[in-house]
Amino acid sequence: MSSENMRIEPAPEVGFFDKIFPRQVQPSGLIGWLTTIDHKRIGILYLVTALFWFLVGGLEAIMIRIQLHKPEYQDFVSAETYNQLFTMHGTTMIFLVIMPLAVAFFNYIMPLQIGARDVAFPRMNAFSYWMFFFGSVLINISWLFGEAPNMSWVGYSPLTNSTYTPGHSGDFWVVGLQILGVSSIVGALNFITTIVNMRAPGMTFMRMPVFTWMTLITALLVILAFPAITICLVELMFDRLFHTNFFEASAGGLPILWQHLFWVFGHPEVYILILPPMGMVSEILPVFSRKPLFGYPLIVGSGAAIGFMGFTVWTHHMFTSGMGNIATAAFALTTMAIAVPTGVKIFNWIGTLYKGQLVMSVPMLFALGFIYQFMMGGFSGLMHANAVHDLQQHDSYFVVAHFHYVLIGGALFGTFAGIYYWFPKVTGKMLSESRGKAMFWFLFIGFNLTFFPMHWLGLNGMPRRIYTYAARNDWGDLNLLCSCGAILMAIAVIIFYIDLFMTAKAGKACGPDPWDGRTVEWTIPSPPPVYNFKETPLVHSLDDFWYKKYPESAHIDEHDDEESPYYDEESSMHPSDHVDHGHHHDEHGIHMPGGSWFPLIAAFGFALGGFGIIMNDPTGGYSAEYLAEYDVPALTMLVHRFKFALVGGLIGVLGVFAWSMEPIGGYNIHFDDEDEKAGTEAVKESKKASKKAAKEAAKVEPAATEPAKEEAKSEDAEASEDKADEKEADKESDSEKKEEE
Amino acid sequence: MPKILRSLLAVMALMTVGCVDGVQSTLDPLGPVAARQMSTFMVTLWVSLGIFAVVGSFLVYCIAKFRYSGEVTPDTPLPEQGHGSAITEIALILISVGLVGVIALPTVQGVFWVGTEPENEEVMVIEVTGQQWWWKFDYPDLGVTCANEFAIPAGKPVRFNLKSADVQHSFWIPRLGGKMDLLPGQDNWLWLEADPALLAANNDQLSTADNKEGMRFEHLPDDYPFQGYVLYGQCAEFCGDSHAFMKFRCLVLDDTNWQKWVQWQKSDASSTLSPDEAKAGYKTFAKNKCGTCHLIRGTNARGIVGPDLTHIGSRTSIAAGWLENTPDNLGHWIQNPGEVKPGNIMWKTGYKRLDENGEVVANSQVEVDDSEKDILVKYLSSLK
Repeated sequence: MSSENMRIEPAPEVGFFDKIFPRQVQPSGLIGWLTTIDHKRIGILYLVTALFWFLVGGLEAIMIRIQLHKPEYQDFVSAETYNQLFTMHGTTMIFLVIMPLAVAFFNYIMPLQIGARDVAFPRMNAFSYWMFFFGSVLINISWLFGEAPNMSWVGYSPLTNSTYTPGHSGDFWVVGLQILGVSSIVGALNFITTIVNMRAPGMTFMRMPVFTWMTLITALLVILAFPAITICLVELMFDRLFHTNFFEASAGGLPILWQHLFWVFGHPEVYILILPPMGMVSEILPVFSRKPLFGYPLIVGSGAAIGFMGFTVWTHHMFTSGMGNIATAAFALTTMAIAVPTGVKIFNWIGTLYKGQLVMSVPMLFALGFIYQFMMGGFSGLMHANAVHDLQQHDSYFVVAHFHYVLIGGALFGTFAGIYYWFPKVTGKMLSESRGKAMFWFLFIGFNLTFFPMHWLGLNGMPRRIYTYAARNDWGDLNLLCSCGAILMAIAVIIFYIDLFMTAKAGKACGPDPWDGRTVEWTIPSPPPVYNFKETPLVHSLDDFWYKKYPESAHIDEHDDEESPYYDEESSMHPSDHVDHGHHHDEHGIHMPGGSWFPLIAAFGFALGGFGIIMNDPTGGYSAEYLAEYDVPALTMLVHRFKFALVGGLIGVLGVFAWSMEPIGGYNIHFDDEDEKAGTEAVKESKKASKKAAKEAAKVEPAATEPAKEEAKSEDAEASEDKADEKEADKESDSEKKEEE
Repeated sequence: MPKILRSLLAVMALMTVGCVDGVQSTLDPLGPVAARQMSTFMVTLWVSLGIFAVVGSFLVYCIAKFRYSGEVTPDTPLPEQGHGSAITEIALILISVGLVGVIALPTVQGVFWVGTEPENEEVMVIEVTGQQWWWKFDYPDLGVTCANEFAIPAGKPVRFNLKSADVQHSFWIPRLGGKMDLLPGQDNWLWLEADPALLAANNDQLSTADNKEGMRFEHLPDDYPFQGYVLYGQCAEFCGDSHAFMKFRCLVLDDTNWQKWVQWQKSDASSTLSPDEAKAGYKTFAKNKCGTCHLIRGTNARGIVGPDLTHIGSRTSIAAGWLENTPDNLGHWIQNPGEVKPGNIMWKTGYKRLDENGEVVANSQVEVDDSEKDILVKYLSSLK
């Protein structure tokens, strides 16, 4: 597979619109990133953006902990600023960090796991990212106007209406979340279409990797849950802008309606946050235990069950809102029922470890930390489900402890496991084991030190969202402990960013399969070429790559001999699967679409429109004297009031229109070499390479405390890379060069 | 269960309860509602601890036992490639369902018990109105109204009818029971009761040495007209800038003291100052237009927007339970309400305010100077 054999030809121009809207042919540099529609680049953009907001949200958290470190402390920030901090901390961490981190993996990893060239709608994918980007900026620039949202991330009505939250802070929140919601829904539709339609031949649903399964379930949750919050956000926006009365009790509106709509979204949302990391952990545990996932069908099934039941429990956030005994009892029962599929997952994860060969690499450490902490979060969840005592726990620090155990101890630990696990695939470089382990232990100890004492604080009667507390309450010691833990967590995060930076500068290179992986993304080079798979893989089983590497392992367990559910080479290909599965010897080669400006332009237009709505001027720019003297027609007034919003909306609509008119464009990649390695041969080769790389990784590990040595060794490792690998890398860099031309 | 494990669990359970003994503890109940809530919590806690002990030990066992410390090479023999076991899965699911059932039964029973007014007992009604950021307590049957500090008779169930005048709040006295939200346009309620036996038991503990001074439980101060206990409550639903300062105190009185308290609350304000001094005090009060919002029964101050100040001199706290009622605190509160409770309506609508550059941003009449402050503090403190 030498580079000379690959040619790139621009696709022929097909018509009139090619002249008006020429598409970018994989340009380089900044423009390349701005116009990219490559799922891998978009995944990286999501990751980088989310990691940036993670720093911002973390800073807010540290400031919260400083403020609370001792009783009756009022010198650090004002009460109003504190309220902005915790509101923005929650909003940022949920909508701008954990969700987009998961989406980064959906984008990058999921198409590779199903053997696809890209997602189903690449430009929609770019649009989804840019909506997220502008939405996140829009919410956060409120800080610059001194009007950061300050009414808590649940935004309970009527505190959020224009009487109790005057100014623009509420509008920033309402409009920003709507834009983020568009991004999420568009992305989810894309992922569902991709997974349903674009799996490699032979990959039946029950051969899909668990992470892909969780992507599918999460995406379904997004399209079912986000309409609810969109409705209530629009209603609130109308209440704020036009004085409608959806939530205005004095005019017959219902404040409680907000809570119902919000939590109909809000509870599935927490599963949207946790299911993807569950998928990541389900990928990682088998790899580092070197045995199949225990109870794959049950892991998948319980994921689906959790997702479905997520819609039946929303009022457990509202046990204190006076729903009456029957509703309270019923929702307590549905909530407890969720403990069963959740428990099933934990049992199966531990079952995967049982009798395995546990390789304690960084991803595995995070995955194990995930199991422990998610289990703890599950227990406190079970305690909330006890609706009798939940009247005591509700809105206390017990709840704060619970959801941080689930969201940091669970979602974030799982995501870090995923980052350490897939980072070599994405960059071709290994993150440092030693720094990774240091980061893990700081985070693990810091996290438990910060959040475990909060259980006691909550049971001791400390309510959430309080700016400070009386010395009489005796909450000071534990709060100081929590604040100390937060410092350890901050250190962990700093180590992580240093690790990212140093690895980017001089990381140890790795082969296509550094961890001895099980799924098809490990068969292609690291980082993957722009077209992902030169030949669409044929999938014969779950963990297809593993069984191709270790065909003997399919029969190690005697009980499987007859049924062999995990390896079924002969029978289970659908006849149609054999028809032209990405054969590259035809005349067109691999067609890659060109970049496009329009997703960016459309998203910018809509975000600008949102900004125009936020910054609307109720006077329409008319002076008070003018308004007193002349009667301005309502429509004229409206146009003047929302002129920037209208301009932004127009740009957005024009962007979408141009996007729909855009020609196909792009370019074709041809491979001329007829007898290159493909299929099983390539697999064998990468197996060798991966084992070698793993060996080297193990060797380097003990020396890793000394960076100098490590660097030297990693150079060695690089030098001794398998030849096939080198070729792969060569081809890869050359192809990139060509594309840039 | 091995002995060590059992004692470990016992220690953990003790720690859980032992660390939770503050004045707003949920696990140190003083009434039947809180006791019922705590007992169902303990069921969940024990079940969780049991599962934690078993599953957690198995997790630790797996990590310790199957940890592979050597290098993984192509020649390393693979472990057994088991991919699941139907019998184990079914057994674990059935066990989980059973354990959830153990929790579910007391939960459902408890929900109905806590959510139903006790029958065959006379239930006293108190109307609670929450507003940014203070509490109004009305006793419709007794004709008593008070603010931020109210009393209940020990041993009698009380029904709290909860209303909000503005945004959402939540009424919570942890040692008597769980909270309930106050929502505009919705009539919520809950019932609570202070149990004399539990109070007495706690009173005994109060004198033991291992008790942190004044932290666990409190008597009313000596100079208070009646004997009784103070319980602390707090708003538990985020309600704006000064949410943290929206607290209240609940006095628990025995029957004799309760009767006296009611009579006293019904009476008009009486100042302990000389008539001349009281007159001067009231004049300053009126000059600053305090009477527009505040009520002092027996005077011309008849405002109903703000808290009732008729007996403010006898209250244990001011500023909705946030500050102790001392002359210094009262003076600070009168002069700088925006500092004590950011965003509060007294400061926002009544006081002249300056921005960072010293410019007037809200032009109102009230600006209490030091001499006025002293007069007001003296006057208000005298309203017993």
